Amino acid sequence: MSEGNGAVVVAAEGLTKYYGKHKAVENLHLKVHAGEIYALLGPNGAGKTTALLMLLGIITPTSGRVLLFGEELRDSSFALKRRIGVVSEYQNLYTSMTVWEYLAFFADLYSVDRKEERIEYWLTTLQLADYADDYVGALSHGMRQKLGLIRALLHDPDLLILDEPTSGLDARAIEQVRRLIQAERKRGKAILFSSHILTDVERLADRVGILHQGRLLVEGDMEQLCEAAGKETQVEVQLQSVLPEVIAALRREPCVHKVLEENNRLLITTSKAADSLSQISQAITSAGGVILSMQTKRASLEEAFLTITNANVTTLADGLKDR
Amino acid sequence: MRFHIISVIGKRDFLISFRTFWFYGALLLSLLIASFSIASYLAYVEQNGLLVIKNPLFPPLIIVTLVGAGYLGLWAAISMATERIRGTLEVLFYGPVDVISFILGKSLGLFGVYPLIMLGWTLYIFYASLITRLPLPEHLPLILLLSSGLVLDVIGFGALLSVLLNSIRSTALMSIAIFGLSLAIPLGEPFWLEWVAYPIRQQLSSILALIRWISPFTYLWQGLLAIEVGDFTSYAFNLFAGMIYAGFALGLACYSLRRKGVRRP
Repeated sequence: MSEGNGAVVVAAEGLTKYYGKHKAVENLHLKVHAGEIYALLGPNGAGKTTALLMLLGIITPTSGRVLLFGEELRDSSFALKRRIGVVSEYQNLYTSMTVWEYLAFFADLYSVDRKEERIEYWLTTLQLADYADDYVGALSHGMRQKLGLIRALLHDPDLLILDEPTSGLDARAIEQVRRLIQAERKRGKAILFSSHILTDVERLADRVGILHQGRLLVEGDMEQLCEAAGKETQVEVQLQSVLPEVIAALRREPCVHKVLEENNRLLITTSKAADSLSQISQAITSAGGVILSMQTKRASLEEAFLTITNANVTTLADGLKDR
Repeated sequence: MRFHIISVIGKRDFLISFRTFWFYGALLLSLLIASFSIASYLAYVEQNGLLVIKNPLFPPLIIVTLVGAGYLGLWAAISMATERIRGTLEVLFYGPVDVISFILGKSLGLFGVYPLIMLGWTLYIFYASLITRLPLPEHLPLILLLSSGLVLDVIGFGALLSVLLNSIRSTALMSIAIFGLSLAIPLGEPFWLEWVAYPIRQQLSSILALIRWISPFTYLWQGLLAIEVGDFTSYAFNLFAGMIYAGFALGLACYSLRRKGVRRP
């Protein structure tokens, strides 16, 4: 799915936030549409949470403005806020309430119809039904994360804003949350989530914005991101047999930067020019080579992310550890 | 919509306040003080055969009123500070909650606890009067009306403190210190006036005048004294002024919270 399929739900225009002299977010422009999953990807401290909190009106931007469903969000925009569901990285729950009381309280705040039914549905869906009478303070981290997710979904919001939604969850719960996010997207909801977990972004997002040191470096779908990641692409060519003339012919081609040989396979690093593939195949066949297969290898999100952010190893390692 | 949010938050806080150990602790404390006070009358009568005192159950009732109001003010301060500092306030603000509905919801929820406390204490005073044959306090309904009206002063002040300070501990300690001083200075006035030399007494009186302006107990205290001396104009004035004070404290708390933001410090 690409940009423009649904109405614009979130529009950030030139959002900037300074804490003293420290620039947390700079001139952020982004749009999220109905029926779209947009991921803000960035290493820890990139400004993702600040950006999301500015969108929610919790942090006042130094400059710029936010439109949600075409309206500016104010402290007292009750009707507008009812259309938003939020999961924060730290759940900040009322630990002295039971799970049921907690959800019933928020259901009342959001004026949810048939609240008992909704609460039961979500508790069952996210396998928390057995814990309904337990105190929130007694829940594990993963369960608290799920409880936060239920709170965000209880009132069936049109926009979901999720800050690191799978942080601290086990593999099964992560898969469950991913399926749930995809299901909400299918129902036409706009979903904006932040993550430093590359797998989440790769598997969920229709569009990705890479935020680094407060700046949105690049934005687009996976294809566009990988395009933006570099000027080179890799082509893998399987030949009947590799002749020295073929390699020599390839090396003479201006678009070819590097040729590696492995059994009857050639790994060719080439420029991204549109006609480079035809030039390669022509060079091979004219030198007497017989092509069995030929495919372009797309850069992974990880490679794209690294290239774009020039991230240091430590911050990337944090992300990879969570995969 | 805002009214709905206020009622939901208020109902939640009303119910939760009965779950805390401190609620029952405060009740027990005021029960002990009031009972000690009544027991001292009885001991005096037993020793001397006679006790000449006007309105003997009035002081225990005042103690109960002040302890109840002080507890609710302290609880308001701690509970609002906890919401802000632990980040639950931020979560509320993701949804349809604004500064006014939060402050009013929390305050009115606690305010709703007070009539129940006073109902219990009225029954206690009736029972004490029945078994000791001490007369009931004069103008009991006026006392209940005044204290029920003006407990919001103390809650509003607690709300303001919770917004101004940045930790739960400092909020609790500051509240205890301010509420303690606000009560101790006027209550102790007759005693320290006797013991302190004239120039210092004058200075202290000026400080007392200042405290009267700030203290959330001022109008409650003066209203109760007005009842005791039968000055109903002063009673009505203090009731009215106390309501203005409550509105001002709550308004200032809302303003400060809006300025400070709901993000956990």
